[in-house]
Amino acid sequence: MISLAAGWNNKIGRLPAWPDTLLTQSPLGLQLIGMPTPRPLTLVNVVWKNLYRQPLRSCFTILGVSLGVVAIVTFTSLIQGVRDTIQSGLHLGGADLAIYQAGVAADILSSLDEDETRTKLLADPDVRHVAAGLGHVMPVGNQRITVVMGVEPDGFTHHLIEANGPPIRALDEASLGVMAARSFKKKVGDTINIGGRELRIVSVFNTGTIVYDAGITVHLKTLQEMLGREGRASAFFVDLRDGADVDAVAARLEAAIPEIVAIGSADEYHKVDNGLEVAQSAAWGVTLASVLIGSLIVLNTMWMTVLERTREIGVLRAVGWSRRRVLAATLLESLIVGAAALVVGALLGVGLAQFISVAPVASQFVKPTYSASTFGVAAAAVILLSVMGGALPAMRAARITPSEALRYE
Amino acid sequence: MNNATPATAAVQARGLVKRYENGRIAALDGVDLDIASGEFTAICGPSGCGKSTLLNMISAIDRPDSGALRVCGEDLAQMTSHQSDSFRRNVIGLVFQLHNLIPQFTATENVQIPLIGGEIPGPQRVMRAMELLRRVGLGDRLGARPPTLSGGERQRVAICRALVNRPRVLLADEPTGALDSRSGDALFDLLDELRKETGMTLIVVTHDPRVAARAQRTLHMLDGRISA
Repeated sequence: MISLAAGWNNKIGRLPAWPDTLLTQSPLGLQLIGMPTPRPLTLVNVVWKNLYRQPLRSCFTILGVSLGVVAIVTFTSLIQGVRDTIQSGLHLGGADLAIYQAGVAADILSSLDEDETRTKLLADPDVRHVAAGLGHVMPVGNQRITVVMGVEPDGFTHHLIEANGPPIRALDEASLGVMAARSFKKKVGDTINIGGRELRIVSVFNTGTIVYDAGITVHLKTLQEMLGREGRASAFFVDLRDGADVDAVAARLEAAIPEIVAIGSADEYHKVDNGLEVAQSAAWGVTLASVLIGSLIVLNTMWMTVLERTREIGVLRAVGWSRRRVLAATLLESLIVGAAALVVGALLGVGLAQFISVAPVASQFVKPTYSASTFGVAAAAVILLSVMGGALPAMRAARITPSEALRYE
Repeated sequence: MNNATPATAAVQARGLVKRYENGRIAALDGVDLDIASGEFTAICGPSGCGKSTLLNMISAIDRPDSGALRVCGEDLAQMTSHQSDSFRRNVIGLVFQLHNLIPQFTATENVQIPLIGGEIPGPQRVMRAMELLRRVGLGDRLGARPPTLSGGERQRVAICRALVNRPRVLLADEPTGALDSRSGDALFDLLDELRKETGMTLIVVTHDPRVAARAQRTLHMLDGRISA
């Protein structure tokens, strides 16, 4: 009987009538007669193979969805890096408070009378020590932008950590941050031309704060003279007595000296510079847009997939798949896309953040900080956008009735 | 109307009505039907006479607008959607005119599809699928994907998929429609033999008189009614 019956005539047992005949045979038993045992098909296999069916489309979808992750990882790590830089910069050398001029748009524009402000600050009973600083951004050597900080010989430099060499004492001395030393290829004993003056490098310091480590410190008087800002300081770093309430002292100083703002943490940095807030808002805007775009990409892809597979879904429903299982399979597919996008996006995001952080100018100001919360937020966003994008197609798939689907061409 | 009243009825229908397009078209117009357990029944008739609609009712794919329908003792008219899914999964096997296999899955995987998420453990699902495929002569094609199979082989895989849940009623809608006569004959040899072995009820929709001639009983449909 016919060609198909070759195996049929070699019956090895009765078909399920439905007694378990061959089911008592182990997979190994079948292997012994030369038949490899395939792996059981699971819902995850089904979903995976569906994705693999259109590999290029799946890849593009994953890339599209990963944009949201890239945005989150890149912006968050860079902004967190900036915040960390600000935070450690505010507490440079163990200072409790940083003092700036009130009402300025950026910290670099802050300008306070050095002696008068110092006297007022020291009048507070909880203030133990005040170090004045003058910050400026100027070209040095072949570097268009370099942060140059004027510091007091007996003040600020005492706080610099891991200084390789003595602090600045003389007007013709300079101390380089480790990154600046590397960048300018200078070492202790060399000279460096700053603002037309040849200064002798007496030490190399490492604060751990990128903006300082990429910069140069000189004597406060030298920078004041160089900039024609004699008697002016842009910031004061204040040490408080042990046990002093930082917030209370800050409030007291601001009340007593109306021309200053006292900043204890990066959260208050907007008092003197709202650039971080602006950057943060812009980053969130771009991130939100990326997540929405990712969601629409998932929606579009899954919708097309469901349309293409309408008949197939009908067959699955006809052979007994419940609506819930169809819903789960479709949602699982979008979640797998999201999971892949999370991995791809995280890698791309870290790569992009690193790339930005080594760019010539950015490398002096930004060092990305990667935290578990950054990737946690990215994972939550991916789950959200996968569910958002996958829910509508999944519900449509689940609503397909076998009878209409089997008629679908 | 069919007057057979077998002691153990697989299908009992009384006054089945199904209308489409806001009731203007009656696909089923008062069908009465009894099919005994283990019987091979062919349902014949011209296109649009309601054969496939009747098959959809019996398989709980669709539900009648009115009338009573019991399959293997289950009242299909009263079933919820969830119960219908379960009924199809446990009681019914379906073979379509086109094989409707999923192209990226192997023959073994296609056969396992109805069992996914069920109570049968994975290794047993594989065993069932492999055993069925061997029984229909595809033991050497277990890992083959549908595009690499012939039309007859694909339809045999589809039969295995319909049988893997060990149905009590196997419904086939023009199963040989896309096959040449030799492959079609072979397929019915197979289906009939399976029916005899398992005691399942076999209901085949066809307009091929050669297929109808092989059935124990042939029902003719015309304009939504059983005419003979």
